[in-house]
Amino acid sequence: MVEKNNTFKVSRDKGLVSRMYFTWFLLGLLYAFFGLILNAFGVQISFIVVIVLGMGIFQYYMSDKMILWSTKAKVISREQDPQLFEIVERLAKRANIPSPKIAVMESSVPNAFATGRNPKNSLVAVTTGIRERLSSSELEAVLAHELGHVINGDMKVLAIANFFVTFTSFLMQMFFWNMLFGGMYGGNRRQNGGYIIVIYFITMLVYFIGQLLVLALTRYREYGADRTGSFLSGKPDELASALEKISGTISKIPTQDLRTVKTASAFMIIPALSGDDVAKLLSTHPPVQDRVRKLRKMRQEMNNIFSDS
Amino acid sequence: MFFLRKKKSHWEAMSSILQSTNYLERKSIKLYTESGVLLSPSDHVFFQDLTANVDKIVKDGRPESKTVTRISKDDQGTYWVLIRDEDFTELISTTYTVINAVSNIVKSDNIIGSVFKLDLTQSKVIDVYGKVESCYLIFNSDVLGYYPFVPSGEERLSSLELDMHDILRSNGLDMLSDFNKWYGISSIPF
Repeated sequence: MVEKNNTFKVSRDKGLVSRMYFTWFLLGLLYAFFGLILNAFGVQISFIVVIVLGMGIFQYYMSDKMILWSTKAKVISREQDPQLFEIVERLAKRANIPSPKIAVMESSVPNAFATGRNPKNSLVAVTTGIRERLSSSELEAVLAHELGHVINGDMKVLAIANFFVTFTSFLMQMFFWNMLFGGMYGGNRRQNGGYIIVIYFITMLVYFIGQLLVLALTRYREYGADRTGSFLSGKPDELASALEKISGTISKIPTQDLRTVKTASAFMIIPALSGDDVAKLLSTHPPVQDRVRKLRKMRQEMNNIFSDS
Repeated sequence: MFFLRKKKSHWEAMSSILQSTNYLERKSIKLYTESGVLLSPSDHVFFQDLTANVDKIVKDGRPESKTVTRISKDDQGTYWVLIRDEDFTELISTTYTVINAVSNIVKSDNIIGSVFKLDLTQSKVIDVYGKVESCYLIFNSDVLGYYPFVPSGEERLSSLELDMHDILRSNGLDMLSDFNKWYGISSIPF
């Protein structure tokens, strides 16, 4: 995560940074052990590494074009949306990075994303839905969040993390077909059957754990982009408000009177492990409520309303 | 997340507000010396002379108590037991005593909620949120947690409620985090 730039500063969230490093450490440890296991079983992986690496490099270099193609987003000119250009350029200037290309996607679903392997090749896209729903300061906060991903080099980080998972996924498929038809390593199906099943299940387990770690890393990068974006725009509150608008969080606070809803079912004891906890583990984005909470805390720090300092 | 949570007692949860008093003082957020317990009446004999019964509960064994109580019926047919005491610890203790007694004598279903109030007029909150005078803290006895309620005209100031939730929780108050259950209470008489 960027700590210091020529024109703006981001104070480190030490907890977040240490969680990120710890996740990387676990991912490294997991694949180091996996490599040792594969080696012990005499599995040749070099050709899979080459294929996955090739795919990864292709994806990494073509990501902006691929995402434009898959989302049908259109790169626009300044004349088409001068306000959007003005905001993005101002933020990019403050961050001391080249102004990214801007694209708009025809969709009523409010959303935005950033892509590109480095600031020079970056692209920021917004949907027409987000343009209509957010105020200009909320839009600025959202765009600053997206630029936060570019500044923090998230594309690079996640491409490396995803390499491991894609590699395991390929290996899993290879073992699966090998179990069915056998003989990939020169032996016959009967000779190899035993160890192939064992290694297949180990690979499955590594894939599952690896996926969870990458998802955790993705969520940490979101928090990181929230933080960088908030320091860039100076508008953590507006980002929180935009997130609430987009997700409808505020609307979830009930409007009914307690007198009319005082029933046992409305106040069931919250279970220790709910479906939400599992969903959180499998999500690429942290829960909006948690992000909003962190952003408000950041704003509280900035405004010194509640802090003791 | 995977741990079994030890359930706090009703008193532990309600008195957690005492842990945040120092913090609130430092932030110039004043605790009102009045609380309210909202009751849904039934045909139980307890409600026939509510004033005397509540007074008996409050003064029972504590004739020297300076706590003052009064009963108010609102336009929705529910009763407010309004408790006043300059000593905040006493206020919490008496509020708990009333809730506990009503649960034992009548039924816990008759307790809708209990309400405390924070005065924000001297705090920095006002610089950010504009003209906002107070924040209610509603204690729900079913889930043993507080949640904030900031009415602003016909609306609620939800962003401040979220702020208050976070800050009070981090300062020791047992807060109800599931904001789907933050039901407001209209016409609070204090």
